[in-house]
Amino acid sequence: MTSVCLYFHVHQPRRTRPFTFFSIGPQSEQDLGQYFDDTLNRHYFEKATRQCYLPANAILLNLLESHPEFKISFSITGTFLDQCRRFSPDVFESFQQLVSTGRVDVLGETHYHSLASLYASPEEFFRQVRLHEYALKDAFGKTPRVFRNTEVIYNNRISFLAESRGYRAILAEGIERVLGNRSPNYVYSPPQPARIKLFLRNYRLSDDIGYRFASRSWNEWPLTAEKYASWLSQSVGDTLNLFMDYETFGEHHWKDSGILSFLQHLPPAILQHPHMQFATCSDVARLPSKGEIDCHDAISWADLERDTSAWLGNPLQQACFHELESLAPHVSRLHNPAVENAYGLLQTSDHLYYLCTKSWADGDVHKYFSPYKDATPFDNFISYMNTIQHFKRFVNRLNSNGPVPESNPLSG
Amino acid sequence: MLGWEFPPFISGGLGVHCFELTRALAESGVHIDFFMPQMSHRITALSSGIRIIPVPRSIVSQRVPGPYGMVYVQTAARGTFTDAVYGSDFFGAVYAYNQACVQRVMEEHARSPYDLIHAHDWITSTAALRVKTQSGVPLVATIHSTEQDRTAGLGANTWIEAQESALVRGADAVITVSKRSKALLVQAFGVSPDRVFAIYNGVDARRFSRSLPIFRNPDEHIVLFHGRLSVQKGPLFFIRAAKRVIEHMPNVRFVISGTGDLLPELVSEALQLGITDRITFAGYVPDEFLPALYASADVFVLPSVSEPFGITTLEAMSAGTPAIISRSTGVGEALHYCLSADFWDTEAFANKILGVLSYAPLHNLLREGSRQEASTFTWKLAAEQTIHVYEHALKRRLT
Repeated sequence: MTSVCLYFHVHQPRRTRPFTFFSIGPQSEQDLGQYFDDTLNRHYFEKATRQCYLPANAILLNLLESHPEFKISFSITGTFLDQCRRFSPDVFESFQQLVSTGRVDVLGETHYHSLASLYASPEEFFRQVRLHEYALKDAFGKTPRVFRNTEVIYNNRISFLAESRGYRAILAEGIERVLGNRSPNYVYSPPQPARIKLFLRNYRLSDDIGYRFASRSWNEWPLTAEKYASWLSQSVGDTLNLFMDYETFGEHHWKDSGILSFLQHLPPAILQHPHMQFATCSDVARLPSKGEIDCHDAISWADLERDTSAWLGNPLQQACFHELESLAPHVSRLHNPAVENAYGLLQTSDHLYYLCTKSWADGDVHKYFSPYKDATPFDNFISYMNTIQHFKRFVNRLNSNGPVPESNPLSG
Repeated sequence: MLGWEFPPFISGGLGVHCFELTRALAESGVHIDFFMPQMSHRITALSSGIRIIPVPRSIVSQRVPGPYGMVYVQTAARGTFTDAVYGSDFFGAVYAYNQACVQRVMEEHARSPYDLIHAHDWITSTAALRVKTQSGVPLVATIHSTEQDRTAGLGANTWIEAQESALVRGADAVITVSKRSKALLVQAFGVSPDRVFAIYNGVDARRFSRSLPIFRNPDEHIVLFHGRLSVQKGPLFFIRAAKRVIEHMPNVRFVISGTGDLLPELVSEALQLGITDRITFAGYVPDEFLPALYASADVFVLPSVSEPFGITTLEAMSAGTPAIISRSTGVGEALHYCLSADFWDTEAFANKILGVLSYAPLHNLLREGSRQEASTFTWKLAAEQTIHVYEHALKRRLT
């Protein structure tokens, strides 16, 4: 039997508002809310609700009811859950309904969809993972067993961190750089003595849906559920890991591309093939390991490089990242939930993504995802760094006994 | 090629453009006769393949100050026009030059026929159109700026606009210096966009990339404005942005380089805002100091109301100085490593100036990117694209 592991990533960042130099003034605790543009956030959330979340959830619920063999997995970020309760309670309920079928797996990750896994010290990472576990428990009554790091960023160290939180498996991108000539369609494990399992995204098959589906210049266009299912049935291996953004369905590809009807017809088409079955990520984690995969440099599922350059590729991104990382001990000392939450929200990787200056094909993808259409990465940097500086001063003021050094390491 | 000025007799970008473009065209194998008003000194082209043909003074009866008002104060200061043959009646001289030009061009054409005429700006319009009619040779016209650009829409000269319109409509192909400029031209004169081609100016990057920051003071950041002090260039917005910056960062000096009729107004604005100690009016800065001035600045600002291209942006960037320009500056459309804002939005300019001055990673990244990006604007490329336009015009004539 070959398992098909369909896994969807559900995320909305809490977008910040343009923050000018003139706003870095005196601060109070109420000011923390001013970082975020919730009119904009509501706008994006409601748009995605209409185009994707409501119709796609309805399709999936229907499929789960009519096909007892059908299973799926979701990773739902904390920033999504928080905004979902606020902006679209009906979407929140429909996710609860999906999970309550018992055939929908939810994965663990950093609550704020951050890059905290790359910080030198793991405390902030663990705080965010814990927070996300509470959020899942609270929303769905579930404890995740499989870990999916932000943007599928992965290396040996991250697998170790996930294992030490009790996770049984972790996801990564199935690129040749780490696989060599091995197939992504099996379960692997990090180097000994790790016991956590590692399974890898089949990026070719995943991107057929995620990227190429609506492209008329693609020689396989139009892609039907039957054609795609036949490709899957011809693939060799234990598991076909198809990971993609949930917003693929109705938002990245619009409804008139036929993507929602594709989603509706795919599971029955797959089940037409007797040697295929559906599996959740937790099911896949029970498969035996086919060998070790050694991965030192972080890989991810983003851009053509499949590394961390989408968020840390230029000095602007690195500067913001280091500023945020250096704040971790100062924030945690305050034991102030409002400050910790603002700190977490500022770390969402999307903010760094908007600062990307890669000029080729991926640059357009970055532009597509940016809510600040007229702004250049430089404008976004000024605004984001102004926000971070404002927050830093705020933390400093509260930390009367051990402030972050006020001398600005950035100027000079 | 029909021009108005050529180094060393220049009053603005037009002369430099003609000099650099003809040189690059000649290097690509184009033979050029460059017609221009006769000056008191003999001008040599310094390149093979180019003949400078002065239109004799005997034909040009009147004396001319120059097209752009205050610019000629600068030129006079440099001594080039003090003994020039032209006097005070500018429009009369333009008329006389155009008359004489037709005669001279047709003489040369009879001796050895031209394949194509290339005219620059409205100032050569009459001659260009008449030569085209008399010789049947295709005409390409470069519009460097329009009367609307130069006057920022205030008090445009309708006769000049009529000249522009006639040239644009009568030419077989039109070259503008940016896509923005092309769009404005297509809209203003109702010409088909298929006949208009945007070709960016080049910049002599080496001239600006090697200077030392000799005007720098270790205790101060320098923010530079360089350009004519006219409504078009937006120096008033520069001063208002300066006020906002100084409120948050006192150790910044704002240098205003250039002369122009707006100077008194600028001084009084600075007085009123109480920031005269932070503003340096540098006046006319000689060409040889310009690279050092750019290199000394931390940020270059060009808040032009309407700028067909904005060559100073590329000059500053060649010197590694990050540029913040108005969205109505043509070259901005072709740049990544450059910040922009609406010309009137002094708050946005101030915020961006503060950002670039405060955050070293941003300044460094822009610095590297600016140099690299500016070096891609070469006259060689402009010449290649110009030759394509020539071919287009020639083909159009044949069909």
